[in-house]
Amino acid sequence: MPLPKVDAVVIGAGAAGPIVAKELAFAGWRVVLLEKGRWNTPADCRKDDLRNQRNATLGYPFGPEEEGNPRVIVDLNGRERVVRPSEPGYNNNAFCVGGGTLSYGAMAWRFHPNDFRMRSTYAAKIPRAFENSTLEDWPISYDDLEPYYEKAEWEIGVSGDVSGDPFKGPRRRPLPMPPLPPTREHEILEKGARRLGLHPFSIPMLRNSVPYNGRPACMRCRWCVGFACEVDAKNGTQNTVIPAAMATGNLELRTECSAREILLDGKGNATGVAYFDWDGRLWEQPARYVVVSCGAIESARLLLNSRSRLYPQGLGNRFDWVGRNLQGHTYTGANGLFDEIVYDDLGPGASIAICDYVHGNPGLAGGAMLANEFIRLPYQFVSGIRDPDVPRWGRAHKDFVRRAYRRIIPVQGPTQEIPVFDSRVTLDPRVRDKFGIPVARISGYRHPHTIEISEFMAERAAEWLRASGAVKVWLRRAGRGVSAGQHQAGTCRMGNDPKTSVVDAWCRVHDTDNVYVVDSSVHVTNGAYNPVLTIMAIAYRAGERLAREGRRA
Amino acid sequence: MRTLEAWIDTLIPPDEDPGAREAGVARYIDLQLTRWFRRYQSDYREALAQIERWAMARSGRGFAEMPPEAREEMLLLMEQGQADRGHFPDGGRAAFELVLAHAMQGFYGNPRHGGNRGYASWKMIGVPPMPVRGREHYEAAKTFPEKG
Repeated sequence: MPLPKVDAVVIGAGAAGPIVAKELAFAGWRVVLLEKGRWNTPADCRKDDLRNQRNATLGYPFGPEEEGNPRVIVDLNGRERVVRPSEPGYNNNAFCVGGGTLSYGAMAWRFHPNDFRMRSTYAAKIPRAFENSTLEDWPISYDDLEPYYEKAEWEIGVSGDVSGDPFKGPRRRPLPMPPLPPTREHEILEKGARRLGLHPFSIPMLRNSVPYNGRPACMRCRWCVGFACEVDAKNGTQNTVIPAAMATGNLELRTECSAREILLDGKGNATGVAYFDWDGRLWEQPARYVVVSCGAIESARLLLNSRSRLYPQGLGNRFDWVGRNLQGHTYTGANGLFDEIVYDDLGPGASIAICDYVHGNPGLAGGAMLANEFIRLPYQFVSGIRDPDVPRWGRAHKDFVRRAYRRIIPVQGPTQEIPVFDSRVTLDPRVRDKFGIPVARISGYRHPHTIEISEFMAERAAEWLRASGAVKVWLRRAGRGVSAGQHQAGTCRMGNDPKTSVVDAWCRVHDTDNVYVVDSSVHVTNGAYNPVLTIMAIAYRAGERLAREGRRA
Repeated sequence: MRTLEAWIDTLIPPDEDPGAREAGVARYIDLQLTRWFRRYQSDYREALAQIERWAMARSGRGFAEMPPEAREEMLLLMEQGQADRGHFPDGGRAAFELVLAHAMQGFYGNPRHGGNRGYASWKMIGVPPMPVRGREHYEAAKTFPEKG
């Protein structure tokens, strides 16, 4: 059933969509924001270590729901399997208002200037990183994004102190909030890093260290990454730009609404969106502009599901680039066992980082930021961190957990991924979700050079732990299968050439006047850092431009 | 239930701290089999019946009546996929992994799901059972005994 026409409909209330919606609403546009999941509040922090976004033993609290939302994953041997959200291979990101920003760890990294120009930096020096890869420069630079990084840091709210990072790109303003006081791990690792001549500093985080934006400071509990913040000290779109945009009266947020397809006219432009509400009723929301912001897997799926005479293979997919270059972050690192107790039960846990190995590693096209890990809840520790010399059960295992739980520091980092054309999202020809919409089918592999970089990073993490006094260190190595997860990116690449990209430098889908993809899908490469601040900066940049130059309905 | 308790107590045995049986891990599994793990009900029925039969065939005693060392030996064979194939067609691997994962969840996970009775495992590793809020945290860290 058609509804009254609005200026813009934004699909997906995660890290990016609400920022675009806010920029438009502040400019006086009438905006509808559709979100598939629910609106959770701080009271929905259940502190449940078996049911959170990091550990779905008993399911995900912030979506997607276990039933009715399958995906298909194809492994390296070509075997395919239908997976439920809590199963390995699903590559989940939260489905709720705020998306991942409700329950993330909240690291607020700016990418390194060279993260935007991987081809220029490495093509001559490391040719093997370019074999069978789609490694490329972005059409925009760090300098283009710098003002928007700053805007995200101040509007959403970031604490930390990056003044000790000599490898960062130029910045005009400091962060608005100081870092939280250091943890015991932080102090131990800081000494070790200095011993190696490295440059440790306090991680920038989208988390209040002091009262900010009318909400309190972090109370430093251990229930952080994977959980909604009980005191609302973690800053996401759900407690910043969404309420601000709604206060203008111009934004209507509709939750539990799942987009089926973007409706297209004869010229290939969008006329609106067809979506199902919570009751399974089908609606049509006409709009002057459509902004797709569902994350790299679901945004690609929505474009592929939006077909017309002009786009028989899906919107924006004239040259078969939609869904390609799916990438995430290969996390590698090391666990260090110490003689003394290193655990002080002070959240969020992650506190200290080094960026010495982000670029400039001999013989490698990239690297990673390295940081200590968030607090390991007991079952997470047992299922994820074990000295490989210790058995998996019995007396010796129990002894190990009892002795080692408070004596282990994990250090790890997100390796810069070398994108691959054949790592991709397509539509599964058979499997459908509860609304009958074809689901995402995920296939591909990691580029061998990604593995090479990640092995190097694991060794650096081990070195750091040994220098910090670890008496035993073991490595965490990379898998070979396709990588996506919460840091999923790349499926609607940004570029100037419509033949080798999906959107232009302002996130507009080539060949259309009024369809935008604004989220991590547009990342050409995914940097050597957690990507959320970059996603936010791109959204501010695209939203500001659309509000300025777009023509309202 | 006795067989399951003997099984999980072999995986997480009692010592100076409670083992899986005492910590109520069987209750966790029992509860979740009626909820989130409904799809594993028949796997459990089959696994418990087969380990019981295999124990009788090996020693003439039920699994729960065997000494801990003998139970350990059987579970080790299952972990390696070398259990009697008459009882476990895959050598026991799938059943072993299923119970191991659930035992660890029930022992180390939050008591709200039926296991980890009295926060037994969290006390064992020295983590304050209840989340402590705000600045009290610093005081709590001083008063909560750090085990060596």
